[in-house]
Amino acid sequence: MSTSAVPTDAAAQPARPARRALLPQNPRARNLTLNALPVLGLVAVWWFVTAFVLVQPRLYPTPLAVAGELVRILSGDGPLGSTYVHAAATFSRLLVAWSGAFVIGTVLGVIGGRNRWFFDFCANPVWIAMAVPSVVWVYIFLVLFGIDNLVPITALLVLLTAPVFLGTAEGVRAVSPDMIEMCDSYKIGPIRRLFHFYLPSIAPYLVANARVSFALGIRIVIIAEVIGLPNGVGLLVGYWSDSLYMAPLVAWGIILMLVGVAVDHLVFVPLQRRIRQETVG
Amino acid sequence: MTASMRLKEYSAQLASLVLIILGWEIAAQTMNTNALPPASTVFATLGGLVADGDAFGPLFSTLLRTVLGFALGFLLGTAYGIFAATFKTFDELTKWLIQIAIFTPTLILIFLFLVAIGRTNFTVIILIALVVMPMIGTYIRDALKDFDPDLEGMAVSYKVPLHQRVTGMYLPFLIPPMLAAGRIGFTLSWKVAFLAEIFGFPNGLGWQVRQTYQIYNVAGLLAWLCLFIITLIAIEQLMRFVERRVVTW
Amino acid sequence: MTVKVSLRDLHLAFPGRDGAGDKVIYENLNLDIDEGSFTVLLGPSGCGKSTLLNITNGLLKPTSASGIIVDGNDLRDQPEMSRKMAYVFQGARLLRWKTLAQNAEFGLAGLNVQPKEKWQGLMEKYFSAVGLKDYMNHYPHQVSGGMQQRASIVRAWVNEPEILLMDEPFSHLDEITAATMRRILIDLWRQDETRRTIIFVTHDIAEAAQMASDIVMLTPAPSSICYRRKVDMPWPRAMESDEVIDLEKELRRAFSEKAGIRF
Repeated sequence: MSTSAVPTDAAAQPARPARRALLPQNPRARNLTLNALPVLGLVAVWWFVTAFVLVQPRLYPTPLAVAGELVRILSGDGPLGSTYVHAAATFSRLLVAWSGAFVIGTVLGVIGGRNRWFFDFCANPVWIAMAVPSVVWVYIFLVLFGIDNLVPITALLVLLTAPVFLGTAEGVRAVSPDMIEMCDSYKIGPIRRLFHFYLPSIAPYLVANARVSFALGIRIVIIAEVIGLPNGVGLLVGYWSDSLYMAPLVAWGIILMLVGVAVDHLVFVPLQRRIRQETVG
Repeated sequence: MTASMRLKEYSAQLASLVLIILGWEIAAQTMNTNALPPASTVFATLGGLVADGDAFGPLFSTLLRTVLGFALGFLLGTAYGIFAATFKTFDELTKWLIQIAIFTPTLILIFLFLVAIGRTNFTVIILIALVVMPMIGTYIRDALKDFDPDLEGMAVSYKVPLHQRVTGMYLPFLIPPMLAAGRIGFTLSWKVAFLAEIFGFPNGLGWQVRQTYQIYNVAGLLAWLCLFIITLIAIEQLMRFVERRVVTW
Repeated sequence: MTVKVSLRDLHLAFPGRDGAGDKVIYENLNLDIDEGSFTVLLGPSGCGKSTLLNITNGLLKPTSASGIIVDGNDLRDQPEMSRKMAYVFQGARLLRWKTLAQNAEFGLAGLNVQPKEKWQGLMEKYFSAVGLKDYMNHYPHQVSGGMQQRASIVRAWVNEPEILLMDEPFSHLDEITAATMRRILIDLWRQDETRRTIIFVTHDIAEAAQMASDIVMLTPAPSSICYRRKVDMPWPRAMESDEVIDLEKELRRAFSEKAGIRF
């Protein structure tokens, strides 16, 4: 028995270095390689197609052209003034609307989680708010208010409040009735109950709401801006699309995608992990 | 749920709708501007569109693209979810691709596709599938990760044959998240189709909304919009009904 | 002796599910509780003992009652009466994001104990009394289950309430910890200058025999009082003493004779 085991082991030995050459042994490095390879492959295909098959740089930009546009955008150079001014306008709109929606949605969500009637009452408006695309809200507010900075902010506010409301209400409904009974018995008032009891209880839901609504917001702020606004990234995107020039469009897409991923992974994922640890710990 | 509770729920849900329409009507009557036509005018316009049959052409062309795009995205998404939950390496390989797909703004995809591939039905269908697939895929992948490994161990130890494991264990576990993801995904598809039409695809509901906006026909805009919302509500209710029927355990 | 809490003609029924008949918990229940007594409500699980505490605390409205009297006032007319009470639950029910001291403070703020300057002194006094002075700034998950329950007793006691409602507070603990906790509770109660009224719910006959000055025995639902007796025995009572064991026997006999429960 033991003699037969030895050669098998020996035979397995040489196979290992060969595998190591293909993929790194360290699991972290291995995963990173696995994550990155298909993306690199995609870029390679993109390059091949635009360089040899569909040679029409204006409509089918090469990776190199897009990289050049990225550098131009990052250096602030753009057709309608500094790109940073437009980016700042877009992100200030996003931040104002997102934080406003977060506060309003959370407060209403706590009420909705406790009061079934209020939740049912809000169900249809919330659903309509989410189902109607942002651009339509922009149309509606444009005819109501005229061209104004308030239009995209209001449209975003309407759209982002709705998922925050639903998430918070779900979280509040999951709060243990025993703990609510404890608060009732100790006569905890509404303000203290909100800040010291409900909000800490639903902290994981709050982070999830913030995460989902931010990711949604960054996508729809552009849509809301394309129509009828004097500045913002949406205006630039619309401009390049109208002039049928795709390289800057792709570059902006990459920037917005990277910002979304970065905020998600640097802010929300660590926050979520910390709260989960505290909940378990 | 008792009958009285259900009645209370429906009355609350109805109350808000009635309130919105009433508030709209009163605001429009008192403001009396072109910008906000009364609800009654809008619904009369909508009624006219339906009665003349003008509503159905755009409605069905949008609906057809939505259904086809959604079906494609749903199939790909479900397959992705099952593969990613089963094979760790596949999950890692596609992780960044999926992140990119999720975080790329839909509007930029729409602009890009409409220009690069052309304004065809096929473009819109591909677009919808591309937006819906990662959402459904990650939903199903995460749902499958909750699959109880003890159950799997039990099945293996009792030597349950594969086809019985599929119909008896995996499918019942898979169907509820598939239905839920499908419901969310269809709403998303409907919106993507609409957006693509607003931003340049020359027919369908979205195109009508854009047209009416450009000639400042607000009553027409709101009527087409109501048609959009009502269709969505009808489909959503239908899917909920199916979900309740199928998921009885 | 004066009556502290008095429940008169109490009716309570929950609507049945899906057409089933109503589930009746109490039919015409009357109960007086003496001021300064350690009254134990003893009965099998599910007979509605905790419900009785919730009604007394104003957390639950009975179907009907001619009186829920606290200190001569009806609780339904004067909800402020429930501020004289503090509740200790079966589980500790502490907020996990607050330290033990902050949890006690949460209760003080809710019941609005004045003046605020007194809070620190009160907390130190009662955390010391239960042996938790060194753990006041620990979070609930950093201490044992027994310590959590002690902290929840402090959360009730720091308010120096006239009435303490205790719902099987030791039933989740192992027997050795529970025995220590019973001794701590009795000491706490006897050391106080004012003798607080305790309404203590349990299904444990030995626990009742060891602690009560007044025992109220309840039948399974629809629940009624089937046996009641005062206990005039000094504390601390040794569990193995003849008097306590005799009392336990008597209670068991009463259960089988009056409530039809066999042992």
